Amino acid sequence: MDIHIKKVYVPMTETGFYILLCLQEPNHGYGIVQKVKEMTGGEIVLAPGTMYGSLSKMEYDGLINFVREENKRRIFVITKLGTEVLNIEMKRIERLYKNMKELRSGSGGEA
Amino acid sequence: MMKNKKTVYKYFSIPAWRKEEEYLSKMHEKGWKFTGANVPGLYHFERCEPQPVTYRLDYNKEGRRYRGEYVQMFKDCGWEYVCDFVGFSYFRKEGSVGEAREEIFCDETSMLDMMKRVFRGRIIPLILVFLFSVLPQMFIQSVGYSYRADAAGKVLSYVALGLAVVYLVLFAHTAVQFYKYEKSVSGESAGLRRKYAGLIALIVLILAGTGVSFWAINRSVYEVRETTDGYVVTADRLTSTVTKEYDLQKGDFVVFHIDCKYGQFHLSIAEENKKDDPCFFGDYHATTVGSFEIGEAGHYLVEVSGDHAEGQVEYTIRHFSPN
Repeated sequence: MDIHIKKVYVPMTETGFYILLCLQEPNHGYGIVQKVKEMTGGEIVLAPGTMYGSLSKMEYDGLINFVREENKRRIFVITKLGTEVLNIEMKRIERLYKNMKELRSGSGGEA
Repeated sequence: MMKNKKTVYKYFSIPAWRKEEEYLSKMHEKGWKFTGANVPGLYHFERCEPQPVTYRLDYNKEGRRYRGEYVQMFKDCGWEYVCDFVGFSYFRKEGSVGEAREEIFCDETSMLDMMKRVFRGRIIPLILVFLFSVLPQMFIQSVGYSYRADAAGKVLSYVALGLAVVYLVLFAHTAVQFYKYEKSVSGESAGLRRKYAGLIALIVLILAGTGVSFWAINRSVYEVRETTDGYVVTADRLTSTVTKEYDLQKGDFVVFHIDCKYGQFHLSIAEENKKDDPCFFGDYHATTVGSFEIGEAGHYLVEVSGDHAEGQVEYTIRHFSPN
């Protein structure tokens, strides 16, 4: 993976992470917004400027591919490179989660 | 009947999109709905129900190219597309500013990305114009006006200098605005302060450099040597005036020898009380030998001046002798 991609996408913004996570299946920008809203119980509502900018940037950097257009909505899907980046991020977040769990239960045990 | 449309002239500098958003929201709250804008800054409004509406600006070249799907994305998220104006796209949504959902950007990265797009799309072209047109023009006009050696050339060189200063002030203003914006997005930090302080220092340095080089290429470099009954002015570059005074009699001669290699010399002979109306005046681009006979006794000023003149002016006073 080239240095530019690593520098820009590792670690990733929450928006970026959710976009790649959702684009494991083809979807359009607004579809991703709805899906993320659903997944997070309405906590995270991605804004259109952020979404449009991220999709353009990711397409340009080859993390996602344009599939087709449907009712003026561009549908994208993750690429091999995108999957690699997503896997790095998932491992990082898993480690974060594991460490958090361990430390929390550790301090909990002492109490 | 009440007017239902109005046009307002309003100037916002490139990095002042936040101010523009606030202005449009305020207008809407007063019952004036924004419908579009044209160069040089005419904002068109239409009467509407006064209500709180949030306006937001985006700058996205790709969005302008694929207008349909770009606008659709905003529409899906509840934003109405209003218009495009000088690269910015204008959106609005009902509801007052400050409600958490009323933003077109939801994270720091994407806000700063927009700032970078504005910088690339609007500021870099200005920097290129400054570096490859305004600055070279200033030097070309300043050095080059001596070929024509006319007043227009001199004026042009000052116009180019003025333009260079205007550009630099604009860059400094932009840097300050970008600093404020970046600070509001990602908070203040020593690194951020250092980055923008460096930028301002660079702009000030260029401004000082521009001033110094303008002064240097217009500076007079010459030497005056006294001879018997006259003077020799030898100049590498004469842009100022050398004045000498004499009491002269009717029939006296001022004999001169001018050798101009570059630019032009001026020679002027005038009575002290008639400085604006010299009895002799000449412009010299090449080698010239000549003389002037004084018609009336009086106190005279002999002035040698130049426009970037290189060469030598020599003159001698030959007193009238009746024999």
